[in-house]
Amino acid sequence: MRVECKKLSFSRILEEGSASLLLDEVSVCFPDGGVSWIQGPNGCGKSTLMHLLAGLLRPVSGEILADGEPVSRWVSSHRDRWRRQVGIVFQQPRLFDGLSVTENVLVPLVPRLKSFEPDLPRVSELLDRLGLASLATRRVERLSGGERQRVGVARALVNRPGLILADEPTAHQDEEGKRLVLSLLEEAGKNGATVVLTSHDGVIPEILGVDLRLRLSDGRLEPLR
Amino acid sequence: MRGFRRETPRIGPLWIWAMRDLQRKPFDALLTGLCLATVIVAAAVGPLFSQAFSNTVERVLVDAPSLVVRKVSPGGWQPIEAAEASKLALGVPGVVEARARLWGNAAGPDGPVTLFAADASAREEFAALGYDLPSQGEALVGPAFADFRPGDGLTLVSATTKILQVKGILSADHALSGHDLVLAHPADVRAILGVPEGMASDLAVWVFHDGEAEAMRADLAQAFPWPVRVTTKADTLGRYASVLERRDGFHAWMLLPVVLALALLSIGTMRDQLRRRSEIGLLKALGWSGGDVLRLHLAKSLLILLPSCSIGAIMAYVLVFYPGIEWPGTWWFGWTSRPPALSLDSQGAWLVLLEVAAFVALPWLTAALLPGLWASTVDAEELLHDSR
Repeated sequence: MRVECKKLSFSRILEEGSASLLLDEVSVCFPDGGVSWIQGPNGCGKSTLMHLLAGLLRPVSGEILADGEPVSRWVSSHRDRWRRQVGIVFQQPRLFDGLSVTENVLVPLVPRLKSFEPDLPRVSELLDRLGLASLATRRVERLSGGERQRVGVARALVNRPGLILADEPTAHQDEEGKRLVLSLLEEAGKNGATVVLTSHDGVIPEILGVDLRLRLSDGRLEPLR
Repeated sequence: MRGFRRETPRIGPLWIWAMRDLQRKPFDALLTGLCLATVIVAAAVGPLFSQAFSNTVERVLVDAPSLVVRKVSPGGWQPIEAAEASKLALGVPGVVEARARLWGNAAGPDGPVTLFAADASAREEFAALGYDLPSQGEALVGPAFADFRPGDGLTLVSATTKILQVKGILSADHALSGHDLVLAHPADVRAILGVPEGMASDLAVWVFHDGEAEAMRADLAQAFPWPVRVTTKADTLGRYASVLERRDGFHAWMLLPVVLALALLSIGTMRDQLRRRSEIGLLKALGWSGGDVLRLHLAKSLLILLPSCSIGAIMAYVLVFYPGIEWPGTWWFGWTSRPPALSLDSQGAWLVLLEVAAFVALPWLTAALLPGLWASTVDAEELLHDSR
């Protein structure tokens, strides 16, 4: 999926009522079927940009085009349906407590399942690749932070989305965990998905082939070499 | 990307998912279901009993005489001259039938009973119901005597004491009218009640049209050379009306806590749904449409509501109609002995239960679905914010 931002601006209203400009006319084109890595200091707006790309937020000005379609202009219900093609890894895993690992991974598929089969090959494959196979039936509130994050990664990839937005996917991961997560994201990119990930982690280019490196700072997104 | 398909939603897995989602907080779901069932029971018992009672009264009064004539004196009622009274009544224009009846109250083993003479004129009527008329020394008894078996002795005390042999027990179908009835041979009834030969307890009069009964009351009273008291079917209905008023007052009283409980339950459900709106945001972020979210909420609500309605309706039905249930009769009528079986109109009962289920289900379902309906139209990010 070809995703492009055109003069994208976004402000956040602060508690005292003033507006803080997080993104200032950001323009970028993420390579189709490639991995893009966005770096930047805390609070610079990386998560906000990811949420804008996912259609969870609407920009103040500018637009986001997905395969030429102005997603950011669509109404909420239209964006909800479009999001079936988007896999999101949140900075905080945001799992459904009380459900098992497998059930959490299944969530994006449920409305369109033909029959309820928790043992879908795709789910089993992802859990296996992420080192979660032995935890498949465990309730997610009993997992460690790193394990929870990997469940979030599996959930984002389960329906083979065309756009994968991973916000700090390696947070809380040990070296093995990072390798498992990043290899899956790289594979998704090689299979044609557009992968955009944010991370502080400098180890990323050592594990993952990055096609586009960007730095977000003071509302500006600039390419890095 | 262009023109992505609007896929047909699949209901099956969504229902399984809804069940799984409820299991995340099983006690909440169970408690909500039990509360709903209890509210339905509380709301349904009154109207159900009311409907059954009205049916029974209607059935009893269908065969009742249009007018009843009793001979009275300053000391109370007196036996009436059977043949002469019938002849005089038939002389009144509009009277189509007059039948002298021999009946009265006697003390039975567990309290007062209604002793009624079954004479030969009723033979065919009884045969149609599957009973033979009792011979001298025998008795047919009502459902209140269900502990008796054919051949048992039944001691009755009034002017004299007599032991009659139980010949059979009238079925519960005869309900209110025959509940504590003892049907015996006229000679036995006369002996027990002390009514002389040729005399009767009262005179039952049928007129061409029940609507004329009130107008004929005065004519009938003047036709007899003795002081009489004439009562109409409407008078009998009036006696029932006082019971009905008590019953309606009770309904109103019952309805208040039911409405309050329902309001509390609905508000609680709505608050719980609103507390969980960040989950709706997450579902939308993961590609669920507003319709998917709403269908999930509907499935979850129905999974609680349908069993609750069924259990509540069944419990209300059993509480009113289960054979041997005593409390409705005790509450409404003060019956202390075995209660009569109420006449049941299954169609009417279904209607009452459906009305009550709708009365409870609609507000609760609205409360359960409104937050989902609202959330399904809001941006996912706005809902996700709520959990931060």
